[in-house]
Order: sequence, then structure tokens, then C-alpha cells
Amino acid sequence: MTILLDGGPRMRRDEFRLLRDLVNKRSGMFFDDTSFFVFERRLRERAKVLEIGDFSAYYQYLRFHPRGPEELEEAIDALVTNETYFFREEYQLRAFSEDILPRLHEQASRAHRRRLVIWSAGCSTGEEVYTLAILVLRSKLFVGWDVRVFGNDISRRVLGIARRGVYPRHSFRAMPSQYDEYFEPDPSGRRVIEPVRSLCQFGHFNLMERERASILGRVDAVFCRNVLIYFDAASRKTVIDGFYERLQPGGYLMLGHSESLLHVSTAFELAHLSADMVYRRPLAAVSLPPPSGRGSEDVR
Amino acid sequence: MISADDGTEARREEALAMRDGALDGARLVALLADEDWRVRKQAAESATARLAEPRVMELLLEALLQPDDVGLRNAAVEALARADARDAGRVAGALGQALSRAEPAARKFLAAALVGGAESGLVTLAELAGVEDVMTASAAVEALATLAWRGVESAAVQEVLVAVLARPEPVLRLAAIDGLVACNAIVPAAALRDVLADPITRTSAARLLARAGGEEGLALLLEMLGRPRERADAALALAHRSAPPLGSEPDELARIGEALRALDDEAIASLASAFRSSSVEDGRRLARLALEVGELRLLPAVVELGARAELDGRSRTALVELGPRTTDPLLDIVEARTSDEPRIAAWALEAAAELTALVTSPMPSTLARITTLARQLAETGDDVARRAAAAVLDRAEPARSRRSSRPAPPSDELEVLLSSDDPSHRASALDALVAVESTERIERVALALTDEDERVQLAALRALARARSADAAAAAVRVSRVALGSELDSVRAEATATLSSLGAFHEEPRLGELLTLTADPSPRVVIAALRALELAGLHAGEDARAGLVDAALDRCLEHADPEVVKEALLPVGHGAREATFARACRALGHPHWSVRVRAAEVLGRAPSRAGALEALEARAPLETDELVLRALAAGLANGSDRGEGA
Repeated sequence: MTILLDGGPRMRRDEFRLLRDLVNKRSGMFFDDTSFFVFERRLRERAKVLEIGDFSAYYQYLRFHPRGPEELEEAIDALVTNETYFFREEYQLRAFSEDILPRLHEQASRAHRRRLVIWSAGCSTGEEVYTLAILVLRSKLFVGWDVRVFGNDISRRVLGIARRGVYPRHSFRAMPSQYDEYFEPDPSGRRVIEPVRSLCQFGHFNLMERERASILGRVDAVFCRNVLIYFDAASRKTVIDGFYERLQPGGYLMLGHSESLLHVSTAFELAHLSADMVYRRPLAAVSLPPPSGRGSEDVR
Repeated sequence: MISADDGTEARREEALAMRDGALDGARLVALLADEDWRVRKQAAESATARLAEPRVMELLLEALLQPDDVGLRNAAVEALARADARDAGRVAGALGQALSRAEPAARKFLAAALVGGAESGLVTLAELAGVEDVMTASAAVEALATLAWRGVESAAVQEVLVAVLARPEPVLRLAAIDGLVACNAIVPAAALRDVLADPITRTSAARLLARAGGEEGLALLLEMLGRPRERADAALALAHRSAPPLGSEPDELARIGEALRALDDEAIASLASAFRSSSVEDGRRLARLALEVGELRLLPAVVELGARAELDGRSRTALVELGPRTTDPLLDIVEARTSDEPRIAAWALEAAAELTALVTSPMPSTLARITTLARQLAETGDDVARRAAAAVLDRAEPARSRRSSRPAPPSDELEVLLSSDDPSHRASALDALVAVESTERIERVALALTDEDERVQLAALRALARARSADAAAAAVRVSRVALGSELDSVRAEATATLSSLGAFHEEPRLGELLTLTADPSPRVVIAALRALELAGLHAGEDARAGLVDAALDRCLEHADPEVVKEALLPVGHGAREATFARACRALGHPHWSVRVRAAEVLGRAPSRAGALEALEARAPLETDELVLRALAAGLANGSDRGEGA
């Protein structure tokens, strides 16, 4: 039994379902019944901020108040654990750096294309985006190329942190010291240096919004690690299909170490690297149905 | 709110009733001494109304001169001081006579009461200004100053006040100086020498000296500049002296400049401190003086004022007139202050950049220095400074381009600014793009469409509209179409405008999208779609699309928002199809006056079109709104000029 420390509103089961369904509809994220107490505890804080006394009223606020969409974003932000740090899951990043980047360089060069775009899907506070940019710079394979590392998230709060590029000590707990040169001191911690920042851009959209994602054009690699765990099966498929659309033929998809495409998509092939296996869009592309009845054209 | 509980209201009513009728002296005094200020105030007003009665005057004088009841005394002062012209002479006379029997402590109240006496009280006040008791004399001097300020016998008053300057007591001298300043007196410099020597009165006296004009006053002030303890006061006085409405002769400014240049750096630094400790107005005047005489060692202090938005237009003009010789000193300030005081550095940078922009061929080294310093400033944690740096970098680009014979490469500054955490910088970077030539640049811009900040999204759309090459334009059209699905109506409207300017709606498949946009829930989007429709010429053709376009225009003419109706009237009025044009006539009966004005204008511009003149003529007698009537008349006049109509 959970002992509540304050006298805030209690959530009923029907309220939990309504709120959960609303979050799912807006973001594709799904929370099963075991998330009830997380919902209650974290959304109680939001209700308190708005001085709303019960969760039914909070639901109405989310649905009908002019600030409802913004508040829903805050609610989702509160529900999702945004924990990330530099060089998270380092073994995978090593594979990216030692195997994938050279392959991407070769593929692009053969196609006479001096362009590299990497997408960190669900980038949270941005550490992954900057990590990837550092690895690209350090590889020295793409000097003089048009390089972009793009990160998106549904939360404006974390995007603001990502844009500032200043991080406290705990963000560096897994980072080898050889990368220190890419940071400079800041009163609040350490700041990503300008040559890395200038490679990075951030955007605000939901991974379910495939139309909006089409603005990215074709990308060479997608990192989506420990994000899909929040999505239900149908939403997961929508998101993965969206990645497929965005990837160049031969482009790579990196998921979290506990995630797979089993029961989600058969369009990707497995690529065997020296120390890891990742997913890749085949060089001979498979067609997917277009989203929203529009044509399947891309920006590029 | 007057409480009815303690009878206050009743007593106030009683005091009011005392304005006329039989006088109950004791009761009047009791009300003047009432515990409630509202009652006392009313009693004083009633007493003023009856000053012609000797008994009332007597009662007030007694009240004035008694030492015990402060409230009663003040009420009496108020009653007497409010004496109008009719009673002033009598009051002054009575107060003058009372002077001899007044205790020293009461005399000051006599002086205060004499203010209402105007020139009648002058003699008495002059006498009181000379008494030994300082408080009484001070009250008299203040009363005289009030009279002078009111324009009463200024010359006589000033004479009395100047005489007071010779008294040894600083408090009297200060009161006299304040009085002389208040009445804009011109005091001979000789009369101020002693007061200038006294540190207590020096600052105020120096202000007075600023007005003295003439060689003697200037000489005295320049002399004071050379003395450390008097320097700041002298500088301030000179600053006031040279400012409008007095102004300084050019050679006087030259002499002031010479005197300042003769000061060593330490002396100048002490003057800079005076800037900082002065009031806003004084600081402003000091800055103006420093710039007008070209004393660049005071530039840091001027810049500090500028950063606080305290420099006036004349100072800024003076800075511009100093020209390029201030650029390097300004950039030195930028360099010195970027770390610790970025906003001050930002102001100096912007000033230097503006001065450089005025030069036809700026030195490359200056441009390079500006850019380098701007980049450093862009790295600071201060939003204002970063924004200023971004603006300077944007402006620096054209100057560099003029000097370069090669096309500018993709801008590093764009990358820096697009990666800024400040959305206004990101938006500014996009707005600064003059044209977008390449698809690579389109991609950079397109990513900004996903920005969380609406301003950045809108700036991205505006930038996309500036796509120049065919490939870039095609890419811009593709991404702008995605923006049509935005939740934000501002973005949808801007995307519509972007697509319109890129010519996207000229192509067949896009017409359906455009007509759908005319049914958007947001009037803003509908208006953008209507403009695009007209720009694409879709309102004028006679082909198969005409029916669809007309249906959309009809819908817009019935829109609840009058702005949409007004916008729809334009393509309707300019269209070639007579059936469409006839719809504009109906709008003459719209409930909103501005729609009727637009309809009258549209019809009036084409009076020969089917039914236009008739509609205007039919509406005129029914119309009551002045602006609409004017538009109808103009339309009808246009028709008769052309020989149209019956």
C-alpha cells in the first residue's frame, strides 16, 4: 500500500483510463495498469500547479481549456522518465563509430553525395545528439560534408535544455575522458563547444507525426533507444514505419539494447557488425503505405 | 469612506454649513481643531470663504499663533493661505500686524500663510526673511520662492532672495538658491562666489551659476573644474549651461573642451564617477557635453548610460558626428566589458557597428574586429547581449560581401545562430537570409519548421519563400506543404503565403488544397488563402475551375468574420466573371460598416460592371454611416466621371 505524504487529489480508476487514453491519443505512448500510481503521483503535481482539485476537472482542462494542449505536453513530460547521459550504451556507440560511420561514408561517396544526416528520435535533453555529433567529428571522415545531427522530442522543456547545451556532472558519468576536449567549463557544469553545437539542430514533434518528420528528408541513421518502450504495439509500428520512410536505402536503425523489431516490422534487415547487430533499411527498398492518404513523396 | 459611527459626517456637514449664516466662532474653532482631518479641511474651506469678516480673521490669527494645538494651527494656515485676490491684501495686512506679537515659533506659520497673499504679502515676507530666527526666515524664503514660481513680482522676489545669499546660515542659502532656481533667476556670478565656496551649498549654487551666462560665470566654472572637490559640480553646471534652452556658443564649447582635455586621467575618472552617481537627467546632460566637446576619455561613462537607455537623441547625434574616431575606443570598451558587463559591451558594439556602416569603405581591420568581438559576445550568457551580437553579425555580412568578389560561402554565423538556445536568435538568423539558393540550405531552413517556437517556424516559412533556384523552390514547396498541417493557424497562414509566393498554387493539383484552405476554421488562414487565390489569378478565369472558385468565394462572402468578407470582396471585385461580380453588390447591405466601405470601394472602382452603379445609388439613401457614405459618394462620382449610369 502506498502511503501518500500529502492530501492531494486521489485518482479513480475511470479517471486513470481517461487520462491514459488521452495521452495515448496525443503521443502514441501507452501506460498499462501498473502505471496507475505513477500517473496519480506525477499528475497530482500538475493538478496542484493549476490549482485543480480533482482529476476529472484536470481531464476536462486537458481536453477543453485553451491551454490544454500545452498542459498535456507538460503532463506527458512529467510521466516519462527522461533519463539520458553522454555516451550511453557505449558498446553500441563504438559499433556506430567503428563500423557504421565508415560504411555510411562509403555508401554516400559512391552515390556522389557529401551529406550525412543522423536522427536522434526522442532525444530528451540532447546528450545523445551531441554524443553522435562528437563521434562524427572525431571520425574525421566527413570533413567538408554537409553534416547534420537532428534530435526531436515532444517536450519543450527538455528541448530547451538540449539547446542550451550545458550539463551537470551526472550527465558525464559514462563518458570517457578522451572526449573532454569537446566541452568547456560553465558555471552550471560543462557546455558543449560550438563546433559540435553547430552540427546539431532540434525540433519539436511527436514520433507519431510522420508528416512532420518528412521535413527531415532522408536520413542516414536513426537512433531511437529506450523510447519505444512507452508506445503500444500499434503506435510502435507507426513509428518504425516512419523511420523506414526516412532512412536512405542502406541506412541504419539503432534501438535500445532490450528492444527489437520482432512483431513490429519485417521491412528491415539485420546487419551484422563486428561487435553488434543492428537494423538496416535494405538497399533495394520495400514500399510502405503512405501516411494520411498523401503521396509517398519525400522532401528529398 | 466617512464613518457614520463617530459622528464625523455630521460634523463635516456642520463645517460645510458654516460657509454662510450666523457665525458661531467657538464652534468654528472647535471644528478647525477636530480630530478628523476631513472635518478640519472643510472648516478651513468655510473659514476661507468668510475671510472678509473681521471676526473670522481674528479667530484664525489666534489659532495660528497659539502654540498648543498643531491641527488647529495648520488648519488656520490653510484657511489663510487660500485667500483669493479679493481677500489677499487684508490677510497680508493682518498677518503683518500680527508679526510683532508672534512668538518666534509661530512666525514660520505666518510666513506660510502669506503665500496666499501674493504681492500683498511681499513686504512682510521680505521682513521675515531677514529675522534672526532661522526657521522663520527659512519659511519666509520658501514662501517667496513659491510666489516667484507663480510669477508674482519675480524681480522683487529675486532681489530679496539674492540678498538672503549673503546670510551665513547654509539652510537659508539653500532655501534661497532653491527659490532662485525655481523662478529661473539669472544671478550675477559675483553674488554666488561665497556660496560656491561652501561645500553644503556648492552643488545648488553651481546650478544657478550655469544660468548666469556671460564670461564671468563661465570663467568661474572652468576654474572650478581644476579643483578636485569642485570638479563634479562644475562639470554638471557646465552641462546644464550648454544644454537647451540656454545652449552654448561654439567657442564656449571649445573652451570647455580645452579645459577638460587639460585634466589628467585621474581627474577625468573622477568626472566619470559623477556620471554614475548623478540623476538620469544630469547624467544625460553630462554625456551630451562630453560628446559635444569630444572628450573621448569619458566615452565609457557615456556607453554605460547608453546601455541603460539613458542617452537622449542629441547625445546620439553628437556621437555620430564624432564619426569613426570613436569606433576603436568603442571596440576597446567591448573588449574590456564582454566578460563582466556584456550588456554594456553590447551597446558599445552596436554603436561601433552603426558608425562603421555609415562609412563608405570601412577598414577591413575594423570589420574583422567587429565580427570577432560580436562572436565573443554571442557566447555570453546574457540574452540581450547575444541578441545584439546576432544583429551586428547579420549587418556585418553585407559589408563583408561588398568587399568580397567571391560569393559568400554558407554562413558559419547561420549555423551558430540556428544552434542558439534563444528562439529570437534562431528566428533572426532565418530572417537574415536574403535568398535561399541551394537545396542544402533549404534543408537547414526546413528543419526549423519543427522548432518548438512559433516565431522560428514563421521565420523559416518566410525564408523558404525566398528560395531562388528552381530546385530550391521545388524543395521549399514540398516542405511548406507539410506546414499546412500545423496546429497553429499562424503557421498555416504563413505556409499559404509562402506557397503562394513560390507559385505553388498555379499548378492544378494545388487548387484543391487552396480551396480547402478557404474553408479553414481560422479566419487568418482563410484570408491568406483568398490572397493566394487572387495572386494565382484563379478568380478571373472562365475555365472548369471557375465554379469551384465561385463556390469558395460565396462561402467566404457569408463568413461570420467581417475581415474574411472584406478580403473575399477583392477577388470578387477584380474578377472577370460577371456573375461573381454581382455578389459584391450584396455586400453593400452587410451589417458591419467596414465591409460596406470595402464593397462600395470595390464597386466604385468598376462602375461600368453589371449592377454596380445601381447598387451604389440604391444604397446611398439607406446608409447612415459617415465613412460608408463617403465611399459610396466616391464610387458614384467615379461613375459619373466616366459618364456611366443614368
